[in-house]
Parts: sequence; structure tokens; C-alpha cells
Amino acid sequence: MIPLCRDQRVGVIPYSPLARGLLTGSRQRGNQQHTVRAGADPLADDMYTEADHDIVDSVRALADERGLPPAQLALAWLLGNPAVSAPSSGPPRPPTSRTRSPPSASRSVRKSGPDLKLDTARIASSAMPDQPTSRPAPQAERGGVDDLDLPQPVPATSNAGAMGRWRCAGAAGMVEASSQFAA
Amino acid sequence: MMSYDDQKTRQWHLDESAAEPIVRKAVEKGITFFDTADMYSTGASEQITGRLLTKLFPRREDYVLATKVFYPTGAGPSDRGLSRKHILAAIDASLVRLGTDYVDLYQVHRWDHQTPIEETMAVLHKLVQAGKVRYLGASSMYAWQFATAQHTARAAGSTRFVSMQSHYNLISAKKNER
Repeated sequence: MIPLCRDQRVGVIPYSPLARGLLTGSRQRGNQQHTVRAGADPLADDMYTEADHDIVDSVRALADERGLPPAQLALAWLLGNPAVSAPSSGPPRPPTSRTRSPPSASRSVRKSGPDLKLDTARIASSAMPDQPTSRPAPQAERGGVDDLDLPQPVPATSNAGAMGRWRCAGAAGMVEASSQFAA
Repeated sequence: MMSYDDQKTRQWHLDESAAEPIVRKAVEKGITFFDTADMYSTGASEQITGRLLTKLFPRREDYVLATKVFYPTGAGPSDRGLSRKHILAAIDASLVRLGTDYVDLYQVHRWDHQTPIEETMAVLHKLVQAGKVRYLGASSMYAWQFATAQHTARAAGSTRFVSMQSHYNLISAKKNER
């Protein structure tokens, strides 16, 4: 689907950009859950399996190397894809539901440094081992995470005029998506 | 805006008073795109979304409002799907709940195997022409289905989808990149 959208200049709005909390650390191996949402979200139990923790582990390892929350890396990876208009994300945990302190998804993506280009490229190859390694990293086309904190015009990917300028995400300081700017 | 529901049909749902500071912070941070669906909490999400955005933005033109149609909003056979009958009823019901005259992005939530795609694309085009909808989007379907829908609209000279809301993250990436 994503290559089709890229080719046809259809804007991609990723849902569950953080895999319903899996990429924030709210769920861990052995079905340990750290938030109200993670403990009461049967759909997530269908969508993700124990094997998916391999990817979570690799995201976490790369995030730890950089001192970033895994969620930030996961969002930066999506935003680096030129087909993506705007990840559709929910709110951060409300204070009352906080049980432990897995890395918060609410920290701003803008805190990522330029080094994240390398990280996201590494994650991409880790998450998609079937992809030819010669494929140019999508980050290169967008200028990497430096784009993330401002709605700067970037190459068009959407057919919609207005869609080109939407900035989005579910909530508070979570993502400030630089969206597409349609010609 | 799926998390907001005054009825709290899920343990993690937040009511309007809890939602307001979160949405306010998002608005202050420059977020302008908000996505809901008519089936989220049987309409409560749309109501909260409409009330909060009306309150937090000075003008309707300042934000982009998206919602969806397909899943059941009632018990009847015509309370679901992408038929002409349901879509015409569903958009009006969404507009009432959202408290606005138009939706910026109207998305088909899933593919409807019961309705010819020609019928769906034709009625969606009518909504654009009527000014109830600015753009059309789709969500969660196979690439061949999406390509069929786009081809159908193109052949008819009618409005095509401009967006695809798809399950896409580092875990699902492998599947979606194909």
C-alpha cells in the first residue's frame, strides 16, 4: 500500500504509529502491561504478537544509544518517509493512569538531533530486512529530522491542496509533523 | 480523537473535561489536524471533538477536521457500510455531532463488500459538490481495492481519494511496504 500511495501521490496517515503503545514500552515481553490502555486494549492483543518484541528491542537499543525515548525514534522514522502526511496518534497517558514510568511518548520529536538520520535508517533496515539496502534512505529526500519541528514546505506527495499544509497528531506536544506541501 | 468519550466505554477513555487540556495543549503547539470517526464511542468522540475544536480555535478555517464512515452506527441494515443510503445519512449525522457545516477529510473506514464501488465513489463525489466535504480519504484496505476505487473515480471524472489512513509503524512496516 505505501509504495502505491507514494507513486500515486496519495498522502499516508499512519494509524497506530506507536503500535498501540508497544513502541513506547507500555507492553513488554510476557504480556506485562504498564498502562491502563495497554491492559485494556484487546485489539492490540490481536494486532501484535510476542515476536514483534524483537523489533521493539532493536528500537529500544538504538534509542538508548542516543538517549531518546523509543517512541521518538518510531515517530521520526515515520516522518522520514516522504509518503507520510501525518501520523495519527492518541494522547499521552493521563496522570491518573500512570502506573510506572516507561519512556513517555509525549516528548517532542524535535529534541532528536541530526544523528537520528543514521538511527532511523538502521531501524528501517532492521524492521524491513527484505528491502534492498541500496534503496535510498527516505530521510535523505526530506532532509532528516531537522524538518520535524517546523511546517516547512517539502516536496509534494499529496493530490490535495490543503492537505499539504496540515500539521497533525492526536495531542499535546507529541508530534509536530512537518506535512507535505502540494504544488 | 478516539480516546475521548463521555460514556467511558473503554477504561482508558477520557471524558470531555479530561480531554480539554490535552487538546488545548495540542492546539497551542500548532497541531491543526484532528481525526475522528462516526463509530468512535457511538458518536461521542465526534461530539467532544466538535465542541472542543469550536472552543479552542477562533475560526473553522483554522483547523482540518477528519472523520470516517462505514462501521455500524445503529442496529439496522442501512446503518452501516458505504451505500448511497447510508453515506447520505451518515454525513448529515456526523455534521450535526461535529457542529459544523463541512468535514475537511471524509474517509471510508473500510472496504464495503456489499456495495458496488461505483455507487460509493459517486455519492462521495456528490458530497464534495454539495460542499459537505472538502476532500475524500480511505483507510485500511488492500492496495488492489484502493487502486480499483481510484480508477473508478478517475474513469467517471469524479473526486478521488487524496489520503490513505493505514496501519503503519515500525512493526507493521514490512507488510505495508509490499
